[in-house]
Amino acid sequence: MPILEVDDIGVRFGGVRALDGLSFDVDKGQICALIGPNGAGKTTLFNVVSRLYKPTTGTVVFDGTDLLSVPADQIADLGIARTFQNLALVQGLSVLDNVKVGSHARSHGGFWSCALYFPQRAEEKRITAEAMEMLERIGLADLADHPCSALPFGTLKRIELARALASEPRLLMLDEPASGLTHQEVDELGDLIRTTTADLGITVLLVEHHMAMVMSLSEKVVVMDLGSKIAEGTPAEVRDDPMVISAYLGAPA
Amino acid sequence: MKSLRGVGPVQSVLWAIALVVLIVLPFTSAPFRVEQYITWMTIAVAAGGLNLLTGYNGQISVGHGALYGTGAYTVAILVTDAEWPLLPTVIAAAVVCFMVGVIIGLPALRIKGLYLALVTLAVATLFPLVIEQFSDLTGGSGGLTLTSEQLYRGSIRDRRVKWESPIDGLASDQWKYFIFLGISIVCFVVIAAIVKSRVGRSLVAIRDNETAAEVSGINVSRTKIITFGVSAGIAGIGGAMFALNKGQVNPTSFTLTLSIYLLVAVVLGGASTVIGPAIGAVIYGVFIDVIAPELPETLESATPLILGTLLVAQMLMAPSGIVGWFHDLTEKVSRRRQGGGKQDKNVDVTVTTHEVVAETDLETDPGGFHP
Ligand SMILES: Nc1ncnc2c1ncn2[C@@H]1O[C@H](COP(=O)(O)OP(=O)(O)OP(=O)(O)O)[C@@H](O)[C@H]1O
Ligand SMILES: [Mg+2]
Repeated sequence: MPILEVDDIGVRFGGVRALDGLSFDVDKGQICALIGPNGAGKTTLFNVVSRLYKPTTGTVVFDGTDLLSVPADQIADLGIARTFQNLALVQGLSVLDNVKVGSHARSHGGFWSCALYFPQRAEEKRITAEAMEMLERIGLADLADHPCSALPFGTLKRIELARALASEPRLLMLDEPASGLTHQEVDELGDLIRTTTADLGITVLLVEHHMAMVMSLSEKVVVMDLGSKIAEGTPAEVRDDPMVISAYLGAPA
Repeated sequence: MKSLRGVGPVQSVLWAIALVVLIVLPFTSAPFRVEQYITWMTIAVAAGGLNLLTGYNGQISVGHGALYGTGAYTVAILVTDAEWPLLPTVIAAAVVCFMVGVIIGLPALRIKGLYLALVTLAVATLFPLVIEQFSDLTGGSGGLTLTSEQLYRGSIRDRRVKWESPIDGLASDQWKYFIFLGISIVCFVVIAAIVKSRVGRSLVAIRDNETAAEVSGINVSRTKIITFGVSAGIAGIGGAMFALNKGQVNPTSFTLTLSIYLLVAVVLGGASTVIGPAIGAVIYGVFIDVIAPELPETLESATPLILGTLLVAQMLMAPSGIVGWFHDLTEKVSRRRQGGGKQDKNVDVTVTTHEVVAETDLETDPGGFHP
């Protein structure tokens, strides 16, 4: 059963067609990879689902909800979380507080309640404990109180992953989570994504150039080029597809 | 690492000293000094409110003097014309200023940074003119004196409001001092509670990365507007305290200079630290009320220049303010003391990665967008 249905999405930037009639489905609980050469439109699709970009054509349906009628700040409430290719962390907060920002959508209390402190105390405690647990899972508990800057790129990417997981999403969109990691770290990250999302029943949409990771993790691969889908299938099917090979090599095979 | 999150031993000692000083001060100072301390408190509270907006939320306001003034006039009018008892007017001032702040904050949804500074600057500049315009209500350039009906020599007359001490041995200025100290402490406790809560995190998230805030489910526009309102409400409490302390209000007390004074207090003490604005307000107060009058007459007219120079020096040497500088210092010391054993790993990480991380990765293109 599909949880995310992308249908005929088109996005233009001036003369550039970043997405051009892109359609695909992601099934519930699946790890689906979205791959394609640089500039294929993968990040643009993420930004459409996050409601940061407005598509000119098409629809996106998440678990029965028409996403294009939902404002960007309510996407997290629906259970969609993401990480960013080039990071979107809050530099003025500690690592732990960044993860806690992730739980914003499933916590409560506005200015008045926060100003009085006591109404928030129990929830704050719980959120802190859960964020710490998440940092432990990801192996960054030692850095909890560290400012969220001046850390290696790969570490920052993992903090973003922890933040996304802290929202307890149903759909997790990861934009190149392995960039900036060493080979061994990539393997660890792959295991982490597999076990965590399986434990919690999270559906994953994964954009990654690291092919070994894509092939070992995903149950389904969608291949894009120039804003459209050129192939779709299991990792094995896609790997041998002549269209895919030619898109990646830049010339007819 | 744990000590970083809680209050360290050095901090506890400093807090204890501060508390003792605050309690002893009114008993060892002349009454006119005590009045000045109260004025510093009003500035500290208003700067604390401004800090929520400008320090934590990144919206620059050069107009908080006008909100402080609005709070002061609200109190003056309610006490004099509507015969309200004194302390409830403080709450009324907060509510009125909250609403005014929300209205001033509306343009902030469309404009940011320098443009927002200019709009709020206009508000600060216009405020005394508006007050003079509505002279029926505000007393125009002559101002208002806070009066209430009091028993005087056997008959009820309108007389200037007073703070009669109900406690034997406590002079009226000392009594007033402790009431205002109490209000100030409540304001700062509330600010601290907000800052450390989920709302506080969302303020900083909006300041540093709106995209991150939005995808995390934070309603950016709503939060910005309410922050403007809350910040204005707290500034209004500062102004309300001012009116109740002085017993009179006058448009010349709420000029652009006041707005700048508030910003200086925030920056000097430490933007986005809870207690920084209070420390900044006190330092500024000491300079204006204690040091400047002692200067030879030729230098006295140069006080703005001296202050400006000091501010530039502070920006260069301690850009995160006095409290920020102090935090850095204690952290450095505690790291050095912890050196060796398990902690070494963390220290290594921070040191070596300074070179590895291209800071630009974080600053440009935060949302993973292409330009
Ligand atoms: N905000 C924008 N303004 C203008 N053009 C954009 C914008 N965002 C994306 N594009 C263009 O849209 C196309 C698709 O970009 P996108 O970032 O989605 O590619 P990608 O598949 O994520 O590539 P990569 O693997 O390099 O991350 C590119 O040609 C890009 O230049
Ligand atoms: Mg991309």
